[in-house]
Amino acid sequence: MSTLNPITRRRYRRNAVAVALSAIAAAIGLLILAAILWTLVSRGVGGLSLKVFTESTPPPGSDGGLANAIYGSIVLTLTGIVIATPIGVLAGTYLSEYARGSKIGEAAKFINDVLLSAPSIIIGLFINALLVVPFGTFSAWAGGVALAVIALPVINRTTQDMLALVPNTLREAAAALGAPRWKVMTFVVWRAAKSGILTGILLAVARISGETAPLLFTSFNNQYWSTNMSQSMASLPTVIFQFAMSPYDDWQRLAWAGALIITFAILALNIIARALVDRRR
Amino acid sequence: MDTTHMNDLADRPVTDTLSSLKPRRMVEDRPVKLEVKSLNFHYANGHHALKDINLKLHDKTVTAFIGPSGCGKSTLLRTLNRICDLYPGQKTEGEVLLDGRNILSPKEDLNLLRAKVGMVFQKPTPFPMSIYENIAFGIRLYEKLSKSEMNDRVEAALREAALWDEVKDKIHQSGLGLSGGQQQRLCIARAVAVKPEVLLMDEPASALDPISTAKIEDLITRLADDYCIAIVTHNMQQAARTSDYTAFMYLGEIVEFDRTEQIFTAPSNQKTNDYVTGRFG
Repeated sequence: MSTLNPITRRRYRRNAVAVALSAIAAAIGLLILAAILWTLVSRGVGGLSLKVFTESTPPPGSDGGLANAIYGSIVLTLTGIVIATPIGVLAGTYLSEYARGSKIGEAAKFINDVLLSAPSIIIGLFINALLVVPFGTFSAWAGGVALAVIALPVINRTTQDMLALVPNTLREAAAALGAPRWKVMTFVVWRAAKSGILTGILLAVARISGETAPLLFTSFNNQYWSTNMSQSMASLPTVIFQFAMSPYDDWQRLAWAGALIITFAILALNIIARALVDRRR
Repeated sequence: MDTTHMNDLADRPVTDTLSSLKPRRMVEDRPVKLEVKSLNFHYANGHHALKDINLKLHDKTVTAFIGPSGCGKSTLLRTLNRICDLYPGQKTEGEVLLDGRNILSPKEDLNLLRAKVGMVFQKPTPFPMSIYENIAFGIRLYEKLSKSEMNDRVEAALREAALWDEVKDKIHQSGLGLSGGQQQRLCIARAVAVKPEVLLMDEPASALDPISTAKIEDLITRLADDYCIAIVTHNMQQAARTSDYTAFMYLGEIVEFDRTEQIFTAPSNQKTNDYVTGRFG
């Protein structure tokens, strides 16, 4: 360092400080994540057993599992995704390919981005007013629709982003063969963006499978095993909410087990989504 | 220009390259395939890219378009199959007659037109599907063939583009796995597979290595037995080697249009002379 002139030396010092600060910031983020995972694993593993997957939620003080809540979470998430995927992909395609540059298209894109960050409890209240109050009962349908409303802007936005990554030269090449526009879209452009769009759908699954607030107003909760879509239905987040707040030890143990299951399911989905993106590159 | 092989050629006077060429086709007796009459083109931003273009392209001949960057060569090519219409706000005036019919008419079916006037782009643009499907895609747009007929057509197209021997064992693998030169020949195979009448080539070899370039040039020469070919190139040796006619363009106008030997040995315009002798551009 002695051979360096003062300006260079100052630059080295500043660089060292900047690198140290960003390393600390990264460490803080990672530490929080590690702490959450560690707490979940250390507290949740004790509650895991075969019963968790085979028996329904018990009354306090007796044995039971989370089977009804796991089933409910899967059904509600699937309902939400099945509703949101076609609408989201088609809307994203329209906004990205057909409405590009138009005033309505730009406005719709902006509104979709607002919806993307809308508090989920507001969406729960909205669906409550729309599908729970008129029918006089909480229902799994209402829960699925609420989750669909949350997933929709995510899928819409990622579809737009992924289609924007498809080079125009590919569209030109397909059009130059005499392909009508809908064939250019379905056979070439969608195919080119396929894994990206799929990633968006998986991320939406990850997002809605952990939502609690909208379900409290729509599918509510159910202590018993139920496959009736017109009745209230249990789900992991709402059971965790109820059990974790309770004073009973066995309920709290189940809440930890549920939290562990849902976290690792979402983690797995994120890893799959990431792997899909990597394969595309 | 591209690489060593090209530079070798560039060191020699163009006339040497010319004298080593195959006998020129007698193009005067060939019927006019495409006639451009007082064509003007404005981009959406107001740029007047083509100014009063008049030109005749004969059937079964190669016409090269040369000139410095931004002179309107590519734009002219892109009006001939109206691929420029993919982008809104552009204005085309004048006439482009394909077999005497004005294709600039608003009533023209653009998809049918593009099936008749094929195009190969600067960057290879294989579709994200297998080699076979890349070629079958265009054929399926306008013909309904049995599986064996389709197999024959795909093979014939790949043979025509001198690619069959290299890919016959992996025809169902992704077209994205081919090398750049192979991808470009795949794009040419795809374009000729739909049996167009005119083939537009926008710098088809400028992104390729010298060996691939030589293959593409051979291909162009052979394809000229069957098609009316228009090629845009930055490479004057390429224009000299492959074309029967050459148009020199500058600032959106055709400065000189004549038989290729004439343009390269005794151009009548001083600017053409400066350009082909490398004094500017």
